[in-house]
Amino acid sequence: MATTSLPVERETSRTAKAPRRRLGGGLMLLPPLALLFIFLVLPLILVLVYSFYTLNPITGLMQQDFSLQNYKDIVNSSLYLKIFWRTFQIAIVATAVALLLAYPMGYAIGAVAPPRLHGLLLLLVIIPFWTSYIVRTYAWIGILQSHGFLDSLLGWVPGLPTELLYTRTAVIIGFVHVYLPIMILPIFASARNLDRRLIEAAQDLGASPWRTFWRVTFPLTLPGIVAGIVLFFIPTFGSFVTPQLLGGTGDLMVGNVIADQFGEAFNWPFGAALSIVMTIVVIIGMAIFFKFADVDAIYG
Amino acid sequence: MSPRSDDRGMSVRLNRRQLIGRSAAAAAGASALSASIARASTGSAPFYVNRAQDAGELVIYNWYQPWIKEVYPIFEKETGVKVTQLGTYSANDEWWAKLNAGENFDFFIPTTDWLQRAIAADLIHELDVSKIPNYANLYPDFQNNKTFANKDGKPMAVPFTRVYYSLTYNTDTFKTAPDSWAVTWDEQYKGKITLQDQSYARVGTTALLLGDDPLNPQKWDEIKQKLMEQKPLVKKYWEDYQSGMEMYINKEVVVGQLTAGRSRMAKSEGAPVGWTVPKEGCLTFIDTFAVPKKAKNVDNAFKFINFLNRPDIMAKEMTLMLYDTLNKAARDTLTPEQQQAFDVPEGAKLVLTTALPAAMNKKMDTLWNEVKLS
Repeated sequence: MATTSLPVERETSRTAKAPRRRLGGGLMLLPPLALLFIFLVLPLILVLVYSFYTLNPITGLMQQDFSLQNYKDIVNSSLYLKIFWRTFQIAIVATAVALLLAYPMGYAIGAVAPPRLHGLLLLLVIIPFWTSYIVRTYAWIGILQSHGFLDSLLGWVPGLPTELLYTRTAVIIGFVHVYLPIMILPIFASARNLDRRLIEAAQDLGASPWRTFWRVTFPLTLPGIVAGIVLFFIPTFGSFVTPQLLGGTGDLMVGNVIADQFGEAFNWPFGAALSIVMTIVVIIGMAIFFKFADVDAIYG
Repeated sequence: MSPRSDDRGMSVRLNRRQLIGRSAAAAAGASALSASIARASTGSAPFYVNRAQDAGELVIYNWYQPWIKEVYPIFEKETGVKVTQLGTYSANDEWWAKLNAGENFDFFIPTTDWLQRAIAADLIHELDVSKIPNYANLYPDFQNNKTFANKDGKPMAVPFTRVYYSLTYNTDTFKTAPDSWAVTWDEQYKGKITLQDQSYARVGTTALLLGDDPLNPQKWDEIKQKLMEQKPLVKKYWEDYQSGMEMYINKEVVVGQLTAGRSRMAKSEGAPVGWTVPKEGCLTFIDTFAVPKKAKNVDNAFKFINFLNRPDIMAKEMTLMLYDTLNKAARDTLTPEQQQAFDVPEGAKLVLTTALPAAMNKKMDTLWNEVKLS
């Protein structure tokens, strides 16, 4: 019974929203669009322009030019393909681990905890964000290094991995810790809006908890999962501090290579070109992901 | 080529603060605010306290080095020049960006290779050495040295401190200093070796080992091969000097490449750390005092450079920050024991890092990334 009434309810809520959107819509969008233009589009254009510049072979200084050489260098060398692949491997593992942690947490806060506790619990999730990324990453050095906090806590347990610092595992831990809150928040939002009657209905109709989860809960929280994955994956893909501080000798990400171009390698045009390629790769990756996750169906 | 992150912090705590500062935009705002408060407070001083205005002002922009902060008040007191610190940077690319964006400052401390680029880009003011009598305190080799001159041979900067990419070791493990970079290829120390994550430092040091020219290597394939052999033995390629030093202090590593200054710093914190220049030699870089072309207070900048080169002031740098300077008069004021800490083995080969051609930079960067990805 409850299930049949639902689509109607959805319909009405959607039509109720429509007029509000039409009213202030255009004007309200102006300030954020202006901000986006100044702080995102304009710098990106600058990066794009730089990426066509070249270096003076003798002085090494950047000179205005229109050359595709930087892009040719990237495409013609297997090195950069390898770097992107390694970056992708690290980012995808970090995202998967983060999802395993963020989903139960976001779901528990949004759908299990009483609403009056939401504010407090979300605050606890966000508090780490008040500390700088670099400080939090440095903290992990203290925890993971040999004779560090983790060693002194668990060092006596046989078979547990020690000496985690300067390994891929340390990089994953660092990423998960740093960006976990931004994955929890959208999952929380979708879990909070979950219609409990649907779960009850599934249970009434004899579905096992497992089946209820996969057929009802999971699809309904999918928008939060998709948003969480995207929000987590993108900054992770572009990071360079975490692998630099926590990683081992082979934990190289595309962000490290780009950062080097603006510093020691002194090749801003090439760094700019790599940034553009990275942006394109991420956009294409997201497009594929959205297609795969069938976002249209999710967000309706 | 030059350090990506600051190697000039004094203590662990200071360096962490600097790192925090760099990451938080708020800190930049705070320092700008304090600078403007400082300016406002001079402005609001009663009319009869105008000594500062007479002598004018000076805007300085420097590495995060406690030494400068320690000594510029002395300069203010002696000369009446009002000094404003624009902030501190932790990598050369920061001042490079500011200078190119047209920001105004009168004095800064570029590293040689970046200085040479800035000279080529016509961003540096020629020095008037007659206004810097303490220039004569430098070791003779570094006076009128072409490295710090423009193409007409006119001096453009005063060399200040020399940083050695030293072979640094644990003195408990090594009773006598290892005499070759080959020790960083020794299986015996597998997992106990740390090296700087910098293409030039790695390619250059390996070139030294192979008897090649670090500034213009020929044996590219051999160098790459050598670096690939070394990689499995290495615990960490560190990128910021603080991490590099702490690995020695925490005894996670026993040998590798650090800087002489950081080695002294680790030792001063009680760690069993020594440094040496092995028989193949080592790479060095030099920081310099320079004045931007568009500086508004050029004469005060010269006055300040002269002040910094005074033996008593420069000696403070050596005792406070433990960095070697090229100022002979300052070094002579130290006690023999203090001087000993700065001594380089007799006849050691020191390769000064200068700006490399763009193609060479690219080649080194590519090679190093290939090694790390292998």
